[in-house]
Amino acid sequence: MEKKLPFQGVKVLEWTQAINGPWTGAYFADFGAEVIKIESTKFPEMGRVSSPYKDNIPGFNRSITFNTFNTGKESFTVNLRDPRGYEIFMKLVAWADIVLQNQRPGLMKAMSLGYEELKKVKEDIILLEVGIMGQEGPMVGVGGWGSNSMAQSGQFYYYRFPDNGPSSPGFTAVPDVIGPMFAAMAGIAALDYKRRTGKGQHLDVSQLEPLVHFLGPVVLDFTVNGRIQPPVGSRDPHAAPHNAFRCKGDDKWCVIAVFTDEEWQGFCKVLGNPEWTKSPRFATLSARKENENELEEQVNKWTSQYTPQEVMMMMQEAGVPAGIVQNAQDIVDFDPQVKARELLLKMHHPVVGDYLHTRWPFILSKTPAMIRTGPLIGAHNHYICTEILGMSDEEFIELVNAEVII
Amino acid sequence: MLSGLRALDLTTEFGYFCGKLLGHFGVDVIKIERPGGDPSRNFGPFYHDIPDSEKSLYWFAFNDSKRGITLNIETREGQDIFKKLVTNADFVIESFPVGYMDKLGLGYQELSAINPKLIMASISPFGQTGPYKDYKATDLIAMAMGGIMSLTGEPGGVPCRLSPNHAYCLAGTNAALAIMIAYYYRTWSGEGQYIDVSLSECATRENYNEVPTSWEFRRYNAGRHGDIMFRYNVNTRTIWPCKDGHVTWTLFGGTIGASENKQLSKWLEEEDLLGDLKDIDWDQFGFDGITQGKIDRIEKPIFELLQRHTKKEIEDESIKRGLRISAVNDLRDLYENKQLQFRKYWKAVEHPELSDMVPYAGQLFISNETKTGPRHRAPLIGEHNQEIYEGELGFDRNTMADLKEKGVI
Repeated sequence: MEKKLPFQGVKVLEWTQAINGPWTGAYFADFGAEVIKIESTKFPEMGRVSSPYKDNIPGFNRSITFNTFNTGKESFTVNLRDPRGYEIFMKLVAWADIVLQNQRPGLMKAMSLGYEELKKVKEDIILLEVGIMGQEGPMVGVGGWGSNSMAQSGQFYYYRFPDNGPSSPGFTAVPDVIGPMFAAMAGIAALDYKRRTGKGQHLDVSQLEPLVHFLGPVVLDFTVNGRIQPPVGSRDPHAAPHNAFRCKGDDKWCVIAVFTDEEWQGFCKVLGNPEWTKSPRFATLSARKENENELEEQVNKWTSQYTPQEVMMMMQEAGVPAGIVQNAQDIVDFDPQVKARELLLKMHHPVVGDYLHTRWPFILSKTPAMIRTGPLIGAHNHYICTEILGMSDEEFIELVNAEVII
Repeated sequence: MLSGLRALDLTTEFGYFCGKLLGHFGVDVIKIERPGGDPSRNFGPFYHDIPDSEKSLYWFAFNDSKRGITLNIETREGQDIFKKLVTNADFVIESFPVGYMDKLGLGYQELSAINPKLIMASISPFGQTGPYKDYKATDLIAMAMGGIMSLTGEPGGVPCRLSPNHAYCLAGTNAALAIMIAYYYRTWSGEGQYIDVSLSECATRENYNEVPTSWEFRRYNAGRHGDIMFRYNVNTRTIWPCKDGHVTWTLFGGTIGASENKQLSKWLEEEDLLGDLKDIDWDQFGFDGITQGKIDRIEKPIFELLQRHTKKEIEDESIKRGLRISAVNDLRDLYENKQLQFRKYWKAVEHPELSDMVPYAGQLFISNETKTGPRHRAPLIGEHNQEIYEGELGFDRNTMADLKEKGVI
């Protein structure tokens, strides 16, 4: 018997690019929805042309990145600019529960694929539009990337130490992780709303709006007290020591976070209760905050004798929150917790071969995600045309020859 | 959107955000605090800087749109009361140390026996299983273990965590999403289930570019590059100083960058900064085989251009010219942001006991049919005790007084 999944029977039609849209669709696919991804070999989805590629050779089916964001979907390459392609799309709208898109804002409308048009084909359709700044407003044209919403939402302002400018977490666009979670929640809640009321809806999910919530009290400190909180880097106003500290080895660091008196006692014990820890200058949290530079100097002196692993173990055994500033290699190759919980799944793709994929960071006891690799481009053309749209083989071949299916 | 559902929220700061989001979707979230109130009520900053357990902005920010009761679940009577509440609840969210709920007889096994439709989510530092399951973590520890911290900060300098509470918000969001997935399953199967959310795994998942793909296929740890974006073969600038702060922009090649690069060249030309960039054919420009020298030559006049202007000027030019340049907003910029103003984002939330309307961050998204976002302020300590215990569970005055005296509520 096939495994039961939450979204079995749910149908999603997706026309998306890069990360924000595709990752939203992946939540539905991994939990059982049938997700058809509209693509084109003429104008390939950004993920298809993003490195790294298998053996560093570009190719639509060779991008590892694409597979990360398009698990378990069906690929259908169709030219929407052709009237017959448009008609096919509308037939799939009638088939779908959710239409998911993150093309340039306004493009769908310009192509007569706006909410009103979709509604004519399916009254209770859920149109789930995801974007950087949203679909409406003076800045939608700026749009851009995750870095734009990181900047706009006030996040970037805090990715730094007080004395430096903001710092970028490499190529990782934090909003591209957060946006899709909110978009998926919007889609699920809309499915449930439709189940209960019979009504569809038009959802406009930006990265900007949810991200502001991540600043929490920093926002209220401004709206209530008029204060622009300065960045604190790796420190924390309620804890000391609270930072990354240098360890033995090349660019090796541990983190230690001492919030409570108990944790401070545990911390001192691990260090062997040296004289300096008994000074009134460090006796209370407020004293430690006042003398934090000096405190951190002392901690660095101690941590630099050990590896980050050693510090983490000693501190944790004493009940002090501590960890390792892990790099990618530490996580993939060495982290015993990652191994024990199988956070990295071993996947197989017909072209890419074996590769690793990070599962979702939540485990559902009865309906765990079923994660399958991303589709080859156009792999489901025949199936979709014949099985879902009910065409004959001849009709299908004609559309291929006419480059409607491309 | 999800009205008619109820969540019992036992979380600490690890998980506040989960219940808050469910509240924004319309779920009736009941925050259960220990008698006297959650410790984070003493976290600053405070309303008008007056330290008071009913004035913590930390509490306000992460617990709006919830009701609140006090209950000591470490007492026998408290456990019985909690079980009564569970019979009528859809979701339970908790973030205690692994095994704590089991020890109290309130683990998923026990609770699901009372209410098989219950969906219970646990948020813990490293997850419910594995060698680290009993270890402690905070926001800082999770961000470090997940690897993002190895990427932010100055080259060779101290690794920098992202904005404070980031891992907590991530975990709360993941938990809320997982709960909705489980809920959707329940709508047709009738079955509840248990959800295990790990703070550090949430941080690892966020580090999607490095883990596992970049390490597996490039064998390279990206490291820290400050305001520069490390792109394996070359580096490009991603944060640019301007007259009164910073803006962000990233150079792209190919069809992705061409039209924008042309627009930017036009602006450079207007300001007499174009120089030899005029010879570049942006339709042909790409990153294949490009040298750092060439990138630097392209970026130099742009660096000068942006330094001539303020954030606001640059923002206006970007809108006008279709450039993907955004100001690195501080809180004032954010509050005045045109896009958010246009979308009527800021929502005044009433605090009657402070005789004030406070602007809160608003909707999670816009819908033509439904509303999300903050519905009301966070609860006062034990604010809804009477409503829940007397109104719903039918306790009389004597029972209430007795429970209070015993420190149960």
